[in-house]
Amino acid sequence: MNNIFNFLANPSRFRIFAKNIYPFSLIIMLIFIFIGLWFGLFNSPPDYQQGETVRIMYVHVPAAWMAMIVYFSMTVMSIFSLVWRHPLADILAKCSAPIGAMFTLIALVTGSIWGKPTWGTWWVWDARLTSVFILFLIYMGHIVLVRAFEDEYKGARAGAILTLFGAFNLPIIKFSVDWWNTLHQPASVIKLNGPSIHNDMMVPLILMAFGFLFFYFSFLLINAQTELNHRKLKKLFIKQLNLN
Amino acid sequence: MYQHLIFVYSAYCFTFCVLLVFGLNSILVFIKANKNIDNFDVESDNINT
Repeated sequence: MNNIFNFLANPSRFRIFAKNIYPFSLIIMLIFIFIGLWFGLFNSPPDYQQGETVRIMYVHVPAAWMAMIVYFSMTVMSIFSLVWRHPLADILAKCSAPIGAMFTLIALVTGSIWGKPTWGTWWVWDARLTSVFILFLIYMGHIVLVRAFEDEYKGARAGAILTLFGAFNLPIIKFSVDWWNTLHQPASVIKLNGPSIHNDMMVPLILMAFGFLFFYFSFLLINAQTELNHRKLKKLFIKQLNLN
Repeated sequence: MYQHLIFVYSAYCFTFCVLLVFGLNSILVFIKANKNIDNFDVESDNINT
């Protein structure tokens, strides 16, 4: 594992790796999303209580999972960045934040759309909704903070520290439905005594989750290459200035 | 129950519009960054262009 990180620490090697991998990742993403959409919209049963609105789950839940997975990966990258000064960790954390913010926004908006017919309201300030909203604000803070510094190294360091502080919000999001009485339902998939939803609903949920996971992976590779190109261009400008 | 389908379609439309806009924007910026690198000539005097 350590060898892989050392191998990818070189920007040129990472660029070659990303360039070869991302087209396949995009294709896998499209396959998962299209099959997931077909199952979610046409080949899964309506819920006996909620009826057709349960189909919102197939975009809302995977987006909420991704919001947390992306933040968790940013936390790991921040540790790599602060402890081992891994150059690629800064870039990957910087490129992950907008993707994580996007998934959090999708989870919040689709949750709100699901809440209106189910709960009779678009929004309540209960523990789960509020903690996810705080996660969205942390993502936005990270995006702004990293780009606020002219020195990329200082920006990355500030972003890594913010990410580590914000990581305390992850267990709060996960266990908020157990610790407090919330309008949001408790966990029904990721829990100790196994999932409590039917396989017909589990299949589209898992397919869409993999689709979103490959979306993250594909666009992380694409955006990381863009960031590397911007940094290379900056160095070339400086080289040109010195030559002239 | 079927009157609630509008909520389902709204959620799906929002999700896939956001994914599409984000994805297209990322790909366009990536292509532009690649072009900038390919067209850059260190020897030339094109600092302000």
